[in-house]
Amino acid sequence: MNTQTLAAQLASRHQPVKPISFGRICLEWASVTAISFAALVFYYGGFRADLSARLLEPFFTAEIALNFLLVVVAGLSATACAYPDRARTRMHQILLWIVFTGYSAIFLMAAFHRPDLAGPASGHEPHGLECLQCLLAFAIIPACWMSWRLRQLACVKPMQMGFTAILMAMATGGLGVRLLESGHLQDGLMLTHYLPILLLSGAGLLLGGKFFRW
Amino acid sequence: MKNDTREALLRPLFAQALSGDKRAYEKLLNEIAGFARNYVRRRLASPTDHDDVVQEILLSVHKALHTYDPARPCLPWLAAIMHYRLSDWLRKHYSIRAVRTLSADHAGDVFDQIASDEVTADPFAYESLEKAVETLPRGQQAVIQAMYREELTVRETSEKLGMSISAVKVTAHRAYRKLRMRLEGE
Repeated sequence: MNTQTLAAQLASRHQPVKPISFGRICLEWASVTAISFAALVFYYGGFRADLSARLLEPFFTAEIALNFLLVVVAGLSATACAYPDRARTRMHQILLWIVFTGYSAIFLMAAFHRPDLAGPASGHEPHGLECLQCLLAFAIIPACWMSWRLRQLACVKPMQMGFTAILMAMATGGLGVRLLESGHLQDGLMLTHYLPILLLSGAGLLLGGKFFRW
Repeated sequence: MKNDTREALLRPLFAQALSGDKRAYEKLLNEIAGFARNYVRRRLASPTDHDDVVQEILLSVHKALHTYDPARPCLPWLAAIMHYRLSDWLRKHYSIRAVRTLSADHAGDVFDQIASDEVTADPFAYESLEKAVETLPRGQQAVIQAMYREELTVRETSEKLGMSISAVKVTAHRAYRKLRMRLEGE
């Protein structure tokens, strides 16, 4: 078949097309994430008891704020990858790395220099597999929604989209765990919260190359 | 054509196409095909593959039209799709070579030789290949027949045999592998 015939065939089947706006997709994932987050907070019996006191601590507040920003920026970045013209802009990538670096820096500062700011060392349950389950419970719905919805668009950077979509979902999980669990910073937190976030986001990078191709 | 001129030409066509105007859409696709052909020609050495990539680009534009925002310039959107489709094509092309199977180009050369008048120059190779082709499953034989005897493109082969494009590529790829194993075993 020559190209002109293909163009004629495509045109003969053509119907009016309603563009799906970038803002609408962002609103959708933000709503789904917020609803699932609220439902899980309710399911787990509300926020941690010492949350109001902890929010007065600058490191904790900065960590939570940057975690929240990471959710938003990673979500925006994943959505941008699904729009060919927006995927080529570097602003969202730069913003993502600034927030990610800031988040990591704050976490490391709190963990190594002022561990007391991350919570008292006694009287709390240690972090363990329950944290990981909780993290995954918070992450699963946003991850599934992002994967399903963004696949319907036109991803031109599948690996980047896989990474950022899973990072957004896992950061949501991380935020949920930090607002629910009152354990202090320790190796367990690193192992059961942040390592899975990085590992699964890395897996998203690899799987995105397969899953988001069209 | 300069980018400003092309943008001025394509953007109204995009707007009309989104509203369902079939004639404007056909004109848009033909304009994109010309643009894409120039783009592909500058980046892809093998002229036999140009049409395949251009047609892939047109299909991608058709599938992705709902992601185009008419309030924004159309050329960055189009350029991103063309770049992605060409990269995807190259990735597939080189991944086939990387697994050290008989590449499509090589198989194409062999079958092109068969299809030409020069086959009599090497009757042994011709007969061996003929026999090897006859041992393939019927589906693979049909694909080889269409692509290298009748010289149809992948898309034309898919339409003739009622298969998807990816199924034709996979079937051809498996056929090449089997042919290579059989011919090397002889």
